[in-house]
Amino acid sequence: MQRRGFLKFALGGTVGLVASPAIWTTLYDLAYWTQNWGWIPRLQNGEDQSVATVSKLDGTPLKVRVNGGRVIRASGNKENEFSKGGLTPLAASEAQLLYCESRVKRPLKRGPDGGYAYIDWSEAERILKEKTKDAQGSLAFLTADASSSLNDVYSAFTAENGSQDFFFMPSDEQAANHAWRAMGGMGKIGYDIANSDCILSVGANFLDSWGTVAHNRAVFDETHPTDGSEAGQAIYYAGAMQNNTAAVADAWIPVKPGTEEIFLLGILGELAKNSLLVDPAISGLSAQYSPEAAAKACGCTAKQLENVVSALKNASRPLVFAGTAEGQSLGSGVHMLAIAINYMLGRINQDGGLVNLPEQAPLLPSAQSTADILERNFIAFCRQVADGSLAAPKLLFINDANPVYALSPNAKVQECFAKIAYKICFAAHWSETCAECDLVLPIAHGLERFDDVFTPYGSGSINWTLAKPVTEPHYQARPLGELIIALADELGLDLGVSDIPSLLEMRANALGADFQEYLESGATYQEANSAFTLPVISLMPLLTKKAPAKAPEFALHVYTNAAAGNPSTGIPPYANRAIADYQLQEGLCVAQMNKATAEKLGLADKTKAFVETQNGRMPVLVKLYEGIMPDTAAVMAGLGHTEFDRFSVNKGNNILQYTQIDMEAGSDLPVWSGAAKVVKG
Amino acid sequence: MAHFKDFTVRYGMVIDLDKCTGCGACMMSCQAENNVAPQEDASNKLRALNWLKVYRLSNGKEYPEHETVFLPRPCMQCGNPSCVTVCPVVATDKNEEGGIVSQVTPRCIGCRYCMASCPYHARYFNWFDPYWPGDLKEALSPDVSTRPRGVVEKCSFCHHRFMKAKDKAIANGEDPLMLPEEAYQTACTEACPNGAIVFGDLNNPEHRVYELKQSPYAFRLLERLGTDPQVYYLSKREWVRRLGDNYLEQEETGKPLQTLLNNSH
Repeated sequence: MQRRGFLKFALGGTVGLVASPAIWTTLYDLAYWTQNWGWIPRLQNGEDQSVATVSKLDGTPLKVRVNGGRVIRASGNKENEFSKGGLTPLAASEAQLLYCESRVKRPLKRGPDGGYAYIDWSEAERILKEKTKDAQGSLAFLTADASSSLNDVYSAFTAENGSQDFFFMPSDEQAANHAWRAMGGMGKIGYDIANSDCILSVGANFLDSWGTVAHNRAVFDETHPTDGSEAGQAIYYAGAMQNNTAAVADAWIPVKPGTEEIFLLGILGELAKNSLLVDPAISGLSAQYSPEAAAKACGCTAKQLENVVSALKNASRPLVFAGTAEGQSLGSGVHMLAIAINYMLGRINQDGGLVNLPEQAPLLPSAQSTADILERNFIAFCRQVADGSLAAPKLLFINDANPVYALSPNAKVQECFAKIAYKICFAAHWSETCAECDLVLPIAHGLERFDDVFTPYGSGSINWTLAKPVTEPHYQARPLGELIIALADELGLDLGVSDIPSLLEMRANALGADFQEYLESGATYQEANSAFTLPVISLMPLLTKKAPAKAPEFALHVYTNAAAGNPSTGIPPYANRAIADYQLQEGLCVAQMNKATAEKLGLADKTKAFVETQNGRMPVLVKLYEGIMPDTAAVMAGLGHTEFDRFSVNKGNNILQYTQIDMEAGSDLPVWSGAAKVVKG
Repeated sequence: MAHFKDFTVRYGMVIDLDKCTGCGACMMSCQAENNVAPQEDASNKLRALNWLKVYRLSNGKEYPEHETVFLPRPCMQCGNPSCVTVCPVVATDKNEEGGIVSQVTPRCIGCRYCMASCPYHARYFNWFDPYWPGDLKEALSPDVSTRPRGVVEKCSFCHHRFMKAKDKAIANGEDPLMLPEEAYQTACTEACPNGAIVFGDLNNPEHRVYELKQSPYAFRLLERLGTDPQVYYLSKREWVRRLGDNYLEQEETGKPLQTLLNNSH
């Protein structure tokens, strides 16, 4: 071989080897199989600490492990009498949510091109002050957390700015509060689940996602001994699907979505039959619904309905309540009927019954009471602003709520937003709503701030758990409460409080609790229900109640998976494994239906189809499941995010965007409609 | 039935299926406690890795006769583990007091024989590079090493907690093999808000599992394969117990395995 030939061969060989993947693959594999992997994280170790606090996501009391200043994980607090150490899947994700990629890290301002640019806090504070000043008398404030005492600061700030437009996100609590007040209840409606020996839950998945879940489940544990001895509490669950609560209930009574009122009327009628309590409101309304007629309309059998009534009658401390999956209010009618049933059973203001939780006066002079805030309707507000019947506020503050994702298009959130001159989102996580706002400010996560959980909806007594910072705020996040107090100072407004710990101390003093003791122990203050304030329950509102609408021919049942986060958190990093293959598969939301329904629709297991509603067609994968009523399809909410992080996006569609919201006649409260079709894909 | 090896201390679980609501708190706690790397998409269940998985069971009947139950499935820590006998590199073993089947990931060569031999699908191959994006690795527990792609993983009954509990007992001058029940609990047991999971030494009469495993409602999964699982389940529902093994029509559930075997001869 000549010199030139050798050089050509050597050069060609080198280029060939470098270009070929073989050498790199071999090196890569060598690194693996000799276990010289440099890409798995090395563990750090430091001093261990355990800090007691409470989850601001669902009110679960926590013990948080901190190691070398890093928050490692959230566990239940065994010393807490309210939860007995129980943990919910969402609260278990607190540490991962603290560090996840979706955290808003720095203030972001939207530019004229629609893109966001980082700004520093001094610039953000300048804008905040300027916009608030300009919006005097025209400020609206939306928050997702109805159980925080910090709402007193936010509502006082809104009021001091000359506006009463302080809103909570729509919820069951709003509808129940309306019903309770309309029927003569005072204060807050309470459900004494802990002391009841027989529970009928209509739609409320109370062992998974409704009310004070950790507490409810601690009660369930206590009343259902593992040693096989008799349970101390019977549970009846009425709903469209055999869900988490139904799986452990004594009986599941199938009730088609949209017929909950009819089911409750059937029970009311059956109870009224031999009752000494005769009320024209009840007899007039329930006369049309014999057990047979009600059962036929709901999809259950008359026998099932009669069995429930018999169990309620024979129990010494029965309790009946209604509810839905997150944010899917059914209006006030179901709650009124549930209250009427408890009344018929003599269960108002009794241990283990429906109880009147005394109203707590607001802590700050200009703050609004929770009950008054609950009377305000965010969906009605959005619709009115969108159609021009109400002047749009100049400025909207949003605290960790995600209405753009959670509310149906016919709530007209986007149209309302378009009319509001400036929108500021205070968020710990980047959400679909953040992407619609002009300024996004990073606020402290629940483990980074002082806050509290005060008598959350579903409680059976006045209770209070203090949240304290487990760590300093990460990134450039700031606690919203302190930010609003500082802003008020800048604007010369006197809210009547200097900082959040002082506000929380005011709450402790109002309850007669020792602030320092609860701060250190992480215990839940619970008030005994010994001295009930007796309300005079009036059944009069039932007289004006219209007959319930007929059930839709085919119904959509939207349910939640407690592990898969909520609209404000997105899907937590570890939660993807807890989303089952009957909830998400092949990138599609799964529509579960029973075999008879599928055959009727010409569908088979694992075939593609569309859920069709007034808001459009959503692709789904059909999965057969016999624990669901005929002519009903169940689809999980919480999927289809377009924002947050890699753990939340590219997962099916958001079913909430395909649901329909109607307004309940009389109360004007939102009612989620289950009318839908499933058609071949 | 003879054990693979006899132990003075044999940790196990009794899971009350009539109390499990399938919420997934156990799954979430398990991942956080054991540094199981998060997955962006776990919808392909053949590629998803779960040390503990909650299954939804059905009585197989059509609506309206249908019933549902949720079943959490950790590693069964079998008395006669079929995975141990097939491992060519002794990456998995059952050789320590406590009766926990170990999984030594630095030894594992990823051949997956153990996965094929495990009748409970309790073992998972790590298909992907473990990745905690952004600052998520800040939340890594200092107690459990992270594992690379290409190895098999499984539930260890939070073995690091067992080690800590034993160390503490020794430091206090107590017998590390006579730990009180509360001294060593797995993350999933602690997390379960319904108290559906009870954990302890199956050989210790002072631990609740000792009595509970003898309940007429207790059963084990695929018991007659002879794996001698250390995880027991409880259910008052006959159909649930029948799903636990391949029973003949005339066979009754809730009988000790030896009785069943004697009757069948």
